[in-house]
Order: sequence, then structure tokens, then C-alpha cells
Amino acid sequence: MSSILTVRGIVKSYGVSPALRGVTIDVAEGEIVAVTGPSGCGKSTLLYCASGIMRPDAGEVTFNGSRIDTWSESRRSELRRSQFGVLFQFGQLVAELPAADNIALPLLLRGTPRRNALTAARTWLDRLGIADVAGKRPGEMSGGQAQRVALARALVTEPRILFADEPTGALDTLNGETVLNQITRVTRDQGTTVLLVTHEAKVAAYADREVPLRDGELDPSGLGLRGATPVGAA
Amino acid sequence: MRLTALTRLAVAGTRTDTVRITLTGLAAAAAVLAWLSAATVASLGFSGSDLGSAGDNLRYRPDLLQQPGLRPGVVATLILLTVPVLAFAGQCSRLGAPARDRRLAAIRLAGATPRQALALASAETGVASAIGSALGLGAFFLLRVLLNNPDANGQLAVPADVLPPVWSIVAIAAGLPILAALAAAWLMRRVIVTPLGVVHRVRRTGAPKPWPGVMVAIALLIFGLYNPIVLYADDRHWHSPHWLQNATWLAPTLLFGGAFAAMLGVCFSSGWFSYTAGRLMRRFGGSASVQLAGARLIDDPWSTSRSMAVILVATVFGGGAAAFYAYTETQNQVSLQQTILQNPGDDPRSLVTDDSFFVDTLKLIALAIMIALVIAALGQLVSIVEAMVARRRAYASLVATGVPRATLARTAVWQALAGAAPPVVFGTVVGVGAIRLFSGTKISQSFSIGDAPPVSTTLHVPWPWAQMGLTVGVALAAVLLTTAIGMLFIKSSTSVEELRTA
Repeated sequence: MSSILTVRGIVKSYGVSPALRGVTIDVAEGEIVAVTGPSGCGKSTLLYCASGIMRPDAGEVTFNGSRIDTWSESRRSELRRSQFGVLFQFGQLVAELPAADNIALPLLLRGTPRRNALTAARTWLDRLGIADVAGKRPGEMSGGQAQRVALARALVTEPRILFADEPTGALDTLNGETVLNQITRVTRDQGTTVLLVTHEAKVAAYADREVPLRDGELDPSGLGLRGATPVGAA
Repeated sequence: MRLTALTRLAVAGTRTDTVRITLTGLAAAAAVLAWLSAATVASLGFSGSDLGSAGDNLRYRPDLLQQPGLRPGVVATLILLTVPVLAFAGQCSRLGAPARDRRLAAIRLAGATPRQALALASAETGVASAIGSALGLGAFFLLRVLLNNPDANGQLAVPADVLPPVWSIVAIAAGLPILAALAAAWLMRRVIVTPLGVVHRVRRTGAPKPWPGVMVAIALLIFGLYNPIVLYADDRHWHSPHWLQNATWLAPTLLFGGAFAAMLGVCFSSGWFSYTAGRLMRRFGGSASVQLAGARLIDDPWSTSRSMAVILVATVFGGGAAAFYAYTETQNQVSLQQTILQNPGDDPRSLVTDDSFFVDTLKLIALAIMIALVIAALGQLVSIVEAMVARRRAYASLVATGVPRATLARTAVWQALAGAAPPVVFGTVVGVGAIRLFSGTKISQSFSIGDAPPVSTTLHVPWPWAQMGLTVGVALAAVLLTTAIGMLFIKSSTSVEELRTA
């Protein structure tokens, strides 16, 4: 399979604290990759740099053959709106908008007429089994419902890659499994590539491949959360 | 992004956002009403016949409207009255700012570009101002109908029978929302909305310096030297160039510029005053609340100028009005004494002239200053409450660790008073000083009959201590009152529950 996303020699620091010290990974099209490691090892920073949310201090991020880390903030935003979907642990929904409008947001931002955007949003609500929350605001939903709305919003533009940062971190076991099952089912149906960040073995188990990180670098032991089986980083 | 989507996303929000949008709209409505009123008075013209002569000037009851020479003052007052209104709107823009920041970050995460996030933030102000502008326009035309009601003498209280040029109505009604949206975009220049949150770029500067005092000095120089130079030039029969003789704009521009420099100087000086007060409190303050208030003043010395700019401007005007009152009172006394000397056989009480016009004008100025103070105080209240809500977690953790709420309340009072008192006194003194320098502190009049030596009367213009005290007192009372009202929120803002808020 060809690489759809390549991260090469990424370095990123917050002030004087280094978060990433030259990480390189390749992600193939349609693959589900879990970046794992303990708190503070740089997992989320890697995801932010790979998705264009953050610009690395050094290194390259290449998507579909184009180097995106040199792009302007606006161009990277447009890329996130059209080719990428982003799913966080919490806090990514607009608290003031009902679920359907939240899901329709990326489409509205790129100029899709509201009627069409809402139709697409309702289709996704049906697909994820949460049609009944269409008119509810995030504060009126359960954590699992809110996370599925966020998943629908991340996928409504039919992105090539879904970036997920601890997508079940704020959910109980049952809701976490439901969300993970839906992520894997829907992305496999659509052929969407997934790069997910987690510190939980049971979440990493849903991935095709695991990339363990330690102290801002690829874990040289190669041992991930899934057990003693060494996993390839690239 | 389509305009409908932009508008919908811009006005989506919680109750606090609705309050902010409503207050912005109301401020815009008041500003449009004031500007249209100013345009109406301006359309009457600034030259022509005075009261008593034939013509249109007899249409209006107030002298301020009938006398063309006084109309620029009315126009300027109406325009200046919008300053506190717009400043209030600016304060209101801080309402619910943390929730708005979260919303903008979430929208950025959904793929909005930085420009789209800026457009959303500006559009909210633009939409609110557009609604307010339409309301103001409607109120203007409604008031025109209601007030176009001549009295028994056929006179109107306001020029409701005159419509300003259509272009000016369109420019005001359409220009205000555009200006408001542009101002909102400008205010966002230090705010970076990222998908991970909103970052407020803080320009790190050193301790405030007293240099803004130079602006005040320049202003006082302009006021102090203007009349002596004109008199000197007149005495020496200086022949100014033709263009200068016709430059009727020069004097008002100089004096207006001087007043503007004085107001800016007073507002910017407040940073140095706050910082110095904070250092003194840290050095000599004994109690925890004084120490805490001092530390806050040192940490953010510009908070006074941000939240109290209009109050400070009002004190400059208040001081100026007090000095003007003292000068005119003295002038009336000199004239009265001269009249008594010229008419020794008459009852002095019968020689007192009617000064109702002068008194009415001063009452109007005082009213304008009071309105400005009330609006400014409301703005300050918004600022205090918003600051308290923004710091609620820090307050809650202080209370949780055993700091009494009373200490926090005293801290807020110390901070408000120590930050406000020095610049308020300074502003009042500057206002009084500017007018005393301009008009002089000694008034002389003389008359002579036949070959007799002239009989002169000279009086010194007193410092208007009572009015100055009143100005300072009212301004500080407004600050204390708003702080006290703000204290009502301290209990809810220091609840331990705030520590659990996500």
C-alpha cells in the first residue's frame, strides 16, 4: 500500500521543553495506526503536527505527496476541512449549536447551502444511531452521544484521514467500545485512514499497527501496549 | 462561507452572548440617534441671523438652537455624548468572552480558517450594530413625528421639522455597523484563535512611565499661550498672511486638539498612577487586602485606563466646566459692580442682569457630563463583573484555602479606589487648569465719564474648589458604587463548585 501520510524527523518544543525529538512514521492509505505511550511522551503533539493543527519546528509532514508543514495556516485549515477529520477527547463541539448544526459546520464553512449541509448531517446521525439527538445541544447529551456527534462531524466531509486524540478518554467502557466500533466500521467502509492517539491497550487493539512513543521519540524497544510483539514504526 | 451561515454562526450563543449582542445593539441605536440629531442641528447651518431677527431662527424655543453661533457646540456635545456610549459597548464586548473564545476555537477545529474566525467575531458586532442602527433610525423618524409639535408661539423644542441630507442619514445608518465590525476586527489583532484554544498575545512592556504627562503639558501650553500670542500679535499690528486671516478653522482646531491631548494624556497617565500606587501599597501596606490590591495594580496597571477612560474624560470636562462657571460668575460680578458704580442712585438688585441662558447652558453641560458618568459607570460595572467571572477559579481556590471573602472584597475596593483616585483628581485639575490658563485668572473692567479718570473693577477668578470636590466625589462615588454592586457577585464567583467547572 502507498503512503498517504509521511511524518519525517519531526521536532517540536514548547518553550525550552522538547515534546518531539525527530519522529518519523509512514501511514498507508486505509490503515488504522495507533500512536501509543505514557502521558507526556508527545503523542498528541505528533497528531497536531501531522494534522496541520501545529507547525513543527523541524522536519517534514507530507500528505498525498505534498509537503503541508510549509503551508499557510489558512491553507492547512482548508485541508483539515476537506481532506482531514479531527476527533478529540472532548471540547470540540460548539456548545451553543445543536448536534445537526455541529455536524454540518465543516460543510457550512466551505460554502455548502445550509439545507444540503443539514441533510448530510442527518444522514450521519442516522448512520451512527443517534438521530434522536439532532436538535440537542452538547450540554443536553451524554458523553457517548456527544462523542458520536463529534465523530459524525469529523467524517461528514468524507475525509481521507481521521485524526483521533484519545477518542474514548472521557467515556465509560461501554460507550468507549461503541465509539471505537463505529470508528473502525465506518472508516473501513469508506477506506478512510485513521491515526489515533491513545494510552489504553484496549483502544490500541483496534488498530492495524501500533507506533509506541517514549520521551518524544519512537520507543527503541518497539514494544507497544498490545503486548510483547514488537511493532514496526515505519 | 455563505453570508447566512456567517450570520447564523456569529449570533449563535448563550444567554450571556444574547446580553452582549443586545447591549451592543442598544449602544449602536443610541449612537445613531445622537449622530442623526447632530446632523439635523448641523443642517440648520452655523451662520446667519441670530435670535430676534426675522427668518427661520425663530422657529425653535432653545437659544442653543436659535443662535447659529451656538450650534457647533450643540453638534459637538451630541457627538461627544456617543463616546461614552461606544466605550460602554466596548466594555460589553468582554461579556462572555471565555465562552466565545471556546466557540471560536471549536469552529477553527471544524476547519474554519483564521480569516473566517475573525469574520465570525466581527460579524457578531456588525450584525448587532446593524440591528441597533435600524432601531436608532426608526426611533429618529418616530421622534421627528412626535416632537414636531409647535407651542402657542409656533416654536418647536427641537428641529423636528428639518431633515438632514439623505446622504448623511445613509452614511450614519450604514457607516456605524461597518465601523463597529472593523473596530471589532481591530480589537482582535492580538487574539489568535487556534483549533486548540484562543491565545491572547500580551505585549510585554516595562513599568509605565509618566511621559503621557508631556501631552498634558502640551495641552496646557496651547491653552495658556493662545490668548497671549493673539493679543501680542494684535498689539504689534502683525500682518498675518492672507490665508491665515481667513483660516477660521485654526483656532477651534488648536483648542480642540489641546483638549484632545489633555484627555489622552490624563487617560494614559493613569497607567503610571496605578503602577506607582501599587508600588506604594506593596511597600507600605500592612493588610493582606492592600498587598493583594497593590500586586494587582502593578501586574496590570492599564486596567484603570481601560475601564475608566470615559470617567477620566468626564472629570476633565467636569473640571473645565467648573472653571468656566467660576470665570463667568466672576465676570458677571465685575459687570454688576461696574453697573452699580455707573448708576449710584439705583437699587443694586434692580441692576442684576438675567443670566438664565448662561445657567441653562451650564445645566446642559452638567447633564451631559452626568449622562457620560452614568454610562461610564455601567461600563465599569460590566468590566468588574467580567473580571470577577474570569478569575472565579482563582478566587474559589483562595476561598477554599481559607482566605475570607471579606478580604477579597476589600482587595477589590482598594484596587478600584487606589487605581481611580489619583487620575480622577489629576483629570479634574487638568480640566480646571486648562480653562484658567485660557481665560485668565483676573478680570478687569473700567469706565470713565468725561475727563474723569477711569473707574476700574478687578476681581480674581477663584479656584472652584467646591465644584472640583463635587466632580472628584461624583466620579469616585461612581467607582465605589459599581465596585460595591460588583461585590454582589463575589459569593457566587467564589463557590467551591467553580473548581469543578470544566
